[in-house]
Amino acid sequence: MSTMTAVKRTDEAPAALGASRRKRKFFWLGLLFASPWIIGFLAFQLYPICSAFYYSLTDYNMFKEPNFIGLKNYRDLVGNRYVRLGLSNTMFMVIVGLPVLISFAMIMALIMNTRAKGMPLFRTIFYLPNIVPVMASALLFLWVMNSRYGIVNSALASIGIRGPSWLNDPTWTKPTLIIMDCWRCGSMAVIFLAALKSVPNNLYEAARIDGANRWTCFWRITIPMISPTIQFQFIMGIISMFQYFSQAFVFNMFTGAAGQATGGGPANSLLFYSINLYREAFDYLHMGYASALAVILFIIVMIVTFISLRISDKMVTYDVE
Amino acid sequence: MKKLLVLLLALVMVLSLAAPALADEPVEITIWHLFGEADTPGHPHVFYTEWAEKFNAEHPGIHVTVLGGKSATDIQTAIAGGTTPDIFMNYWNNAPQWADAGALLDLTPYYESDTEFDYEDIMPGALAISWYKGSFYSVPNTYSTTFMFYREDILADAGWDHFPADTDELLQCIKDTTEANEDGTIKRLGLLPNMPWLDTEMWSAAFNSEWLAEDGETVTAASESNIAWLEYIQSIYAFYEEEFGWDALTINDFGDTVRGNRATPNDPVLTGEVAMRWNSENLQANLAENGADVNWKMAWFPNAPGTEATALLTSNVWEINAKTEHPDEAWEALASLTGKENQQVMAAGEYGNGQFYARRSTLEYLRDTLADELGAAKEDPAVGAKVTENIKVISDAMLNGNLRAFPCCSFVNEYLNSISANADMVFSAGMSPEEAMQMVVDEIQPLASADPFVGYGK
Repeated sequence: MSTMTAVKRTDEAPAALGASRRKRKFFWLGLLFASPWIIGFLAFQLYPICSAFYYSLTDYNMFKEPNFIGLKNYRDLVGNRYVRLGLSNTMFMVIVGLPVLISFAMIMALIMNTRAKGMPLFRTIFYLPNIVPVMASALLFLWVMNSRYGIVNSALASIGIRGPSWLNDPTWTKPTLIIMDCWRCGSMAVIFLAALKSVPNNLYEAARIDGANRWTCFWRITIPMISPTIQFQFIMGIISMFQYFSQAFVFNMFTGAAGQATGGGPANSLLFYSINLYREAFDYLHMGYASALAVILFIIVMIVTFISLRISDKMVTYDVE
Repeated sequence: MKKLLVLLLALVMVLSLAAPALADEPVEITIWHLFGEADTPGHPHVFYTEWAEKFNAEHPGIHVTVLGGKSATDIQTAIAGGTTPDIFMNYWNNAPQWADAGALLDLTPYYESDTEFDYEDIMPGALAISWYKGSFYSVPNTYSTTFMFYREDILADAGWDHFPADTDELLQCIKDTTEANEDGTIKRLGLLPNMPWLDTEMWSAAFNSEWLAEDGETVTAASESNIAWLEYIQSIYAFYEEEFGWDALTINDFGDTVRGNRATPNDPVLTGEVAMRWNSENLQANLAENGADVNWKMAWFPNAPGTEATALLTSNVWEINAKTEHPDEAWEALASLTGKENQQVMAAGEYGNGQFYARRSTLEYLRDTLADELGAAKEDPAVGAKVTENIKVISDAMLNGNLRAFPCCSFVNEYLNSISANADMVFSAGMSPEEAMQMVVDEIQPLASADPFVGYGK
């Protein structure tokens, strides 16, 4: 017996050793295959993020060696008029723009989920603007929303409505951007569409047998079933809205007094937080101050995302069956 | 071990052979400019590449490469990270901050020692915007101011046999030349107050107002004369609203439509959508090309009554990267590029209609010699006569006019942005001129107090 045990132990040891070697080999092989991403992540994401934290405590200007100045940059940005303006314009996009965008994308996804004739073509057409670069879309929308000759105001005029001054009236500049974002929400709608397709039909059938109408089905089945997707879109949307930049950058070149990309548009209505950050960094060479703005933005996004996750977690249904 | 020694020996021999060859290699100087890389004859990039070819042939020890289509941000990021480009074009207002940041080579020793460069030939106004805290960091390239382009026939129809002599006459002329369509929409505006943009510095020059007091420290944005030009623009908008019911938004919407057509065959002056509009002098080259059959003319931008005739001066400039490995060679190339000889070649301009550079000798050459030659080269004698006349008018105005630039101070970009943003609040958000300009003062005074402006030669 004892001999048998000894023999068995002797057999297991090399086997365990081999498994461990294999595991190690797979581990290194895995790392090797993942290394392009890991290197990219370290060099182009983690390092810049850490640098921004460091530079935010310095007077860095891109050219000279940075000097440590403690929290001066943070003290300077408190109460700064343009930081406040940028934040309030950005919050408008988060609080008003994002819900409008998500609702619109979901409605479009619901329409695309029907079996109407020509739907594949419609889906393609609806998705197409999404592949147009943001800059090009913004330039196009400067004409679409042109108050005199733009297609939107022409359509409104045909039903007797005088369209607003989309690009020059500070009240309408941000809604104009939201309309443009709705036009470009193809990928968001496609993700909703995929979520809608994954809702089991038997749930609707059972509900109908129980006498539920479409409206009830939508609120009691569809929304809970796609709630993880809504949550995902919402969180991603918050992050991207806080970084709102490109569209406003183009609009600013053609609206407001300055005719400058970093000008802020009519009455500073398009001076978003990121635009102000860019202006501080590249127009004024206040790279340290801009880094402080970036750090604050990072913290704001983190807090808002965390709160949104905590709140939405209670509303999200993860179990399907 | 033996093999290694042999290998090392071979390497040493190869390197020793290559060394003299490397030493004979010309010094590579890279130049970046802000214009596109078009290859149409007369385009700035073509001028630069032709100059580079000539320079390379004449200077075997230096090889210059010219690249175009670079934005100020491209240049900024490139020179932050390395030695390329050695020479670059920039907007004059970036120089103070870039110089403070240590990005620009101090060119003063070269200015002073290079007698052939002859910096005293450069117009004083242009030198002023290349001078910062006692040093020259830039070499002025173009010399630019603002002119009024107008339709002589439209003004004549409205009873004007001359161009308005001052801003009071200008307002009357605006009133006389503005027309509505039958349905009440805009047919023609006398003047668009923000076309091509709300040029705050130009308006302030027209009203002879200052942005900094003599001490270089007191911000005078809220001075009477600065309030006056804002109120003047308000009076133009007020006229449109009271007379035709066109509010500021309607005017600005109209501006959006016509602004995109500037310097094209559909420029609003050529189409008659505006009776007058201002632009830098370069527009004349374009209008001469596109508006041969239209009765357009140009004039000096009028000043407020009773004020000294002044106009805004701007310029783009050349600078040398502080990190360049070959500062002497870079200067040699830059001195040639901006020298008298090359500027006279480039003065023919993109369409052969003239281009205005910062050297006195170039402007005189344009006025006295080249204007006639360029005019004579035109197929249509009428167009040729107009080109000749305009070049003479512009170069003469530049040589003798009172052109002045915005103070070249460490906070110039913050100041310009603050003026634009707050002036716009007057027209987009109904803020009073006094309130808007006081906001400028509040924003800029701390910067001016911390780092006062020192004017050219002081």
